[in-house]
Amino acid sequence: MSSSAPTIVVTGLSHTYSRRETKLEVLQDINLSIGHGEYVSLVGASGSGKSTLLSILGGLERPQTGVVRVAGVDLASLSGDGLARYRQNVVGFVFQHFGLLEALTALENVELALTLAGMGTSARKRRSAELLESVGLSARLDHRPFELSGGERQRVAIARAIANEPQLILADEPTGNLDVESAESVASLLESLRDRDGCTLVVVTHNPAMAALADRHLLLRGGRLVVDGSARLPVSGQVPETAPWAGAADGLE
Amino acid sequence: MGWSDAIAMAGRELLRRPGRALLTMIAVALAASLLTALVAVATTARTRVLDQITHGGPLASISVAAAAPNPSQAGLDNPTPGKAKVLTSTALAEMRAAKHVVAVVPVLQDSVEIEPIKPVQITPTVKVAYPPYGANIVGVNLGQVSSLPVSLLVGKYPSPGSLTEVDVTQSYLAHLGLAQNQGEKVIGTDIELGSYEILSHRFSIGLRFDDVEIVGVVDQQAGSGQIVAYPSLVLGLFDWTAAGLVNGDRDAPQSPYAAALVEADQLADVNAVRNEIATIGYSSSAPGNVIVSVEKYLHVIEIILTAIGAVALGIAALGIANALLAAVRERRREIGVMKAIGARDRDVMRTFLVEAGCLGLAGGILGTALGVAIFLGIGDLANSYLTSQGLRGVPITLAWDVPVGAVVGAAVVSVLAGAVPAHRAAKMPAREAVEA
Repeated sequence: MSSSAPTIVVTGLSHTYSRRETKLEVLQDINLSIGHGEYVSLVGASGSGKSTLLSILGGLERPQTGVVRVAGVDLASLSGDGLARYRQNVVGFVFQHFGLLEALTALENVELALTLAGMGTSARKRRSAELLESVGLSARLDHRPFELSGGERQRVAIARAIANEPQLILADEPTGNLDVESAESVASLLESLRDRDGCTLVVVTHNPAMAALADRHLLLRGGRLVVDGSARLPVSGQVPETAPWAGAADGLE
Repeated sequence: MGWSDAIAMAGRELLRRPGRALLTMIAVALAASLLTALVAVATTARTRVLDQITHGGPLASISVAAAAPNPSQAGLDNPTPGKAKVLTSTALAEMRAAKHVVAVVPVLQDSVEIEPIKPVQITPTVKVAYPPYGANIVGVNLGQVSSLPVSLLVGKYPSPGSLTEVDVTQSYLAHLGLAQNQGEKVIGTDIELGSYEILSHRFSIGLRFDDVEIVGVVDQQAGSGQIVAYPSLVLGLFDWTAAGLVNGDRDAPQSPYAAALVEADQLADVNAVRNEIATIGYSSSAPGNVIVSVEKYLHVIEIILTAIGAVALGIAALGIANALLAAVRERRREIGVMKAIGARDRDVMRTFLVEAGCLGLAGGILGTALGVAIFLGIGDLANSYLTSQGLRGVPITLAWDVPVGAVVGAAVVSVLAGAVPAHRAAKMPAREAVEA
């Protein structure tokens, strides 16, 4: 499911982390375009730059070189508050560690995203309850994160991610801390959201089953985008280095 | 994120680690209680010292003598008065009308013969009897006691306008051989006040006796005398004596007033009022210069005690800063997540500042309540001691600005202490959300 109008356009993106005298080039000359409503898996070994690319796309970090446009907005041109508004309204994040605030209940965690967006108390409470109901957690509204299972926590996080109806959902190994059953449930939930809301979904994953659901696969190796393909992946085995198309990357490097 | 949302959020975060929050709050509470107690004690000590100087009268109190001013003594606290001069009602009215004058209380004074009606029971087995002796009686309107250098030690003031109730001073107790703290022994005893009348026949003396009951013991500097009563009682005695004098003595006084007490608006107005009194034609005295000097020393003591409390509050503030810095370190990822879902730097900062403010406010309220309780306890102990020694007690009152200042101060200092951690949290990169 893809559209001709791209949601994400990345041109010549490079990114370097400096620590004292050491410089680590984590992304090198990335060029890509992701269409509206696409489901993209972002794969690669640890340290290949997946999380950095996700952070830049999500406005958590500013692009150092190159241009990153999301929903027509050049992220480098945004101020601090502008980036906060962008993260609030355009992007929804789902983290491997769930990212729920331990002091808040499931309902309050979802509500927080709406609070930050300036929604009134009664409206946001109502919407938060609806969102949690839509992810099958209507009985868990007042539970705090430590009272929920891993799968339930991730569903709360997903409900929070979609609270402000984002155009782009960025998921960083959303099934990484889940058992097989919960992982499948979360993977299918994300896919159904994409199908239902038509948002773009970029997922960093090592889970072959989850990667297999994507329309398109991006493989990063050493900070470079070495494969941008749409070959169907097997639903088991390792991702990405043993993927059928991974070998092609050797030839690209 | 609005303030109410930030407060709710901060409350949740504080309750998440109640032990840490409680300990931090207790540190603030202890500091606030120390500050409150020290400031309150310093203020009370100041009041007590000044009270001692003014004998319970107002700070801006001026004594007017029935004498002309002595130009060579102008500006002195206690000048030697000039030639005796009758203090007339007209002069008193002029003083009342003068600028910066709050009250003018005339003082009557007469000599009397004091005679006990029956011996005073000291203990169940010991009674003290004493022969009649001459002393002075002072008449002032005790209804205006707040304007007078008169304060009650034991018992009560005579009923307004009473002709049968009097108070005595500690000189009276001393005459009976009683200690200063045995004032209650004379309460309820009756004495006769004898006043003379020189009859028109040169060598004849008429005596009039008034039976009165002693209802209290006072410390007074309104006039010179062992007995204090309402003017109506003294005026009766005075008139009796004066009637005789007028008949037999051409130099008889025209006015019953031996002196007057004038209260100025404030200490700073005392000199102006004294100048005005001199213009009207009377000598006056006031402990203004002494008070100003003493106040300077007392102010230094207040500053030192307040500084001790402030240091304690500063240490508590460091505790808050430390606790919040620890919280920022622990919540790096949560702060990143908040930013990832749209929190601006100032939203994060606000949350931490509110946390600091809540700790400070709660600690401030608790500590101030404790400090007030400590102050009241110390005050009670001090008063018990002073009373047992036959001395005037300390007024145990607390100006509203001390507790309010302590609570607000604790909250403000706490917010300031939270500024560094809050700034650090606000500037934490949003990328922390995706860090492992």
